[in-house]
Amino acid sequence: MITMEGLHKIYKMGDVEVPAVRGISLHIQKGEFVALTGPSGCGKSTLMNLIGCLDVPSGGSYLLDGQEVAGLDDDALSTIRNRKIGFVFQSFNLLPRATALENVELPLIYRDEGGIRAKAAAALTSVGLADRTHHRPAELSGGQQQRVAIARALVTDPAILLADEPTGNLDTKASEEVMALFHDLHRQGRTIVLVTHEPDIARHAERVIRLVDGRVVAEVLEAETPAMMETGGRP
Amino acid sequence: MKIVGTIRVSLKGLLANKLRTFFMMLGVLIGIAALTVIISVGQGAKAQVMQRMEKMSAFGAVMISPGGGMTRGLGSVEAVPATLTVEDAQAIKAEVSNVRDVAMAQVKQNVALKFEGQATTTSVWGVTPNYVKIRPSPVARGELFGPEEQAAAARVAVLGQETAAALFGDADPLDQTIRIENVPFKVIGVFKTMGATPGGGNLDDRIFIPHSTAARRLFNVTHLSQLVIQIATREQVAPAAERVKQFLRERHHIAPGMPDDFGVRIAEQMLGVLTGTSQTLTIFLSIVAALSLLVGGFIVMNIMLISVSERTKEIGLRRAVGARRRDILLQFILEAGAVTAAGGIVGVLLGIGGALAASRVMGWPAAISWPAIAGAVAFAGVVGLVFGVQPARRAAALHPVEALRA
Repeated sequence: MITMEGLHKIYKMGDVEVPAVRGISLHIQKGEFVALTGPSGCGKSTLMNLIGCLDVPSGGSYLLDGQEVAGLDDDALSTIRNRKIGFVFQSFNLLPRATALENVELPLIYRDEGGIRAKAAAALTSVGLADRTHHRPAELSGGQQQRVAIARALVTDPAILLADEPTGNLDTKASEEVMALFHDLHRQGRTIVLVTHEPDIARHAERVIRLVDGRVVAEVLEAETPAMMETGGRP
Repeated sequence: MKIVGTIRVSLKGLLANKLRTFFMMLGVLIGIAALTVIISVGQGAKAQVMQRMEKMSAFGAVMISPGGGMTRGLGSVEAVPATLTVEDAQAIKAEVSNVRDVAMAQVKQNVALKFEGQATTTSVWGVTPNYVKIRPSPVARGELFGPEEQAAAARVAVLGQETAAALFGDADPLDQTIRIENVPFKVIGVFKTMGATPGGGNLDDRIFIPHSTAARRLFNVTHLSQLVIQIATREQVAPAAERVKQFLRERHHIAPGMPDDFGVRIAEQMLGVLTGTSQTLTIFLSIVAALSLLVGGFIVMNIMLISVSERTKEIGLRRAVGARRRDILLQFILEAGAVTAAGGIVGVLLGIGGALAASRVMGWPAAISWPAIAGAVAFAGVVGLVFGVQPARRAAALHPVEALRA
């Protein structure tokens, strides 16, 4: 699903070049549940933006669902985001004045197809919020708001679900609900990439990719012990 | 992306902040309403001047008044210089080409009238019978005098509506004998109501008597208050006026370089002056209104810029879920366009209402000029687009990653 070879991303701050991602090669299979983790400033946000086609790499190759993304123009990237990526954000990013249903409809507005309302309602049902379609975000709990956001990510039937600290603004109970939902989606065959700095959340994934200073320093499988992840080394 | 979807998104964006949308609309609305009122009243004023001029129907005629310079209205015979005579009139008719007819008028203001117990004063016009042909003055009742009365210097009078009412009230004035400066005259007709002249004179408060009667029996003067020269065709009026002017200068032995001792007026010129004045005023006021519309445009732009910076995160989200730059651009342009169009339409409606109300209350005429109003709305649309583009471009130029981080 995702194949990265020698991916670089360099930001220019005035005359200074700041490398954020330095030569990452990565393979994520269809149906995998992967966590991207690492300390702050490790480049995981940059990598997530690259995976999500919100930004373009400075060098290297990125094949998403068989399509080369590096070098595409803004319009093409927009279309790929619309077709293949479902974003879930830490702060939910729901439109405050729109209902849950209208929020879920949003990505479909940027497509040329009908049946928007029905698809959005189905997506809300799939996250267990069929009875909250006409509520506004302020009328929903944090966990419910994040589930609306997940429904919005799912409504386009994307190739990958890309979640950036999805539990960062949630309490423990709501976090567990949301992670349970991710597990359900994983079981249904979704490819999920989860970005988090919390080891407890990362542990939910099948595979944990740990970044330090813009490089992958460890890939840990679920079967392996958490202790080994802490050592940062391969078995 | 479907345009319908973008329109819905834009309308929702506008409805989400109703107060802000209202202020944007207001900026455009005031300018458009002002433009509509000004154009409507301006058109109405022009139409009214035309109407009054048509009523006088002095088109195709050259009017000569005694004394130099621009004389306004008709001078009373005792007040005007005695420079214009019956002989002048006859000579012009005989010798100047393209002159079809020459009518003469001797006018005296504030003449005492009496009928039995009633007394009033009015202006008495001693006119040749052809005067009412060149400047039609239809009678409501009775008849006008003709060449026989003129030849006989008959003591007959035709009254204006208001003069008749002042002397007779509701009674029938026909065949009654009134006294003009104690000279008895028989009333043979009453004019139809004619209203005011463009110069402000009252056409309903006056008496017409034959010119010969006025000159010999009433005023005892030979000079005239006015000559009305009818020209063969309207195209020839201007050159004929010039020939009449040269002819009279020669007749009056005016040395080159000296001013005329008479004034020449052409109705068409007056029309031009009058409509020109109101047109200048309309154009000036329209520019003021257009400037206010421009200010409205700046208001729209400012509020849209605020809106864009406040909605940066929303823009980032839309970009993340697949909106292209042009979708964002279109969304914000449509928002600005919808607001200005709505402001324009409401402004036109208010403007029409205002123009009609003003015309009723103030007695101004108002003519709704649809092409001009369509122009005003189109202008509002252009303002909306021009001032909406900049904020929309700013919104579209936002980088999705940075917009999301906002």
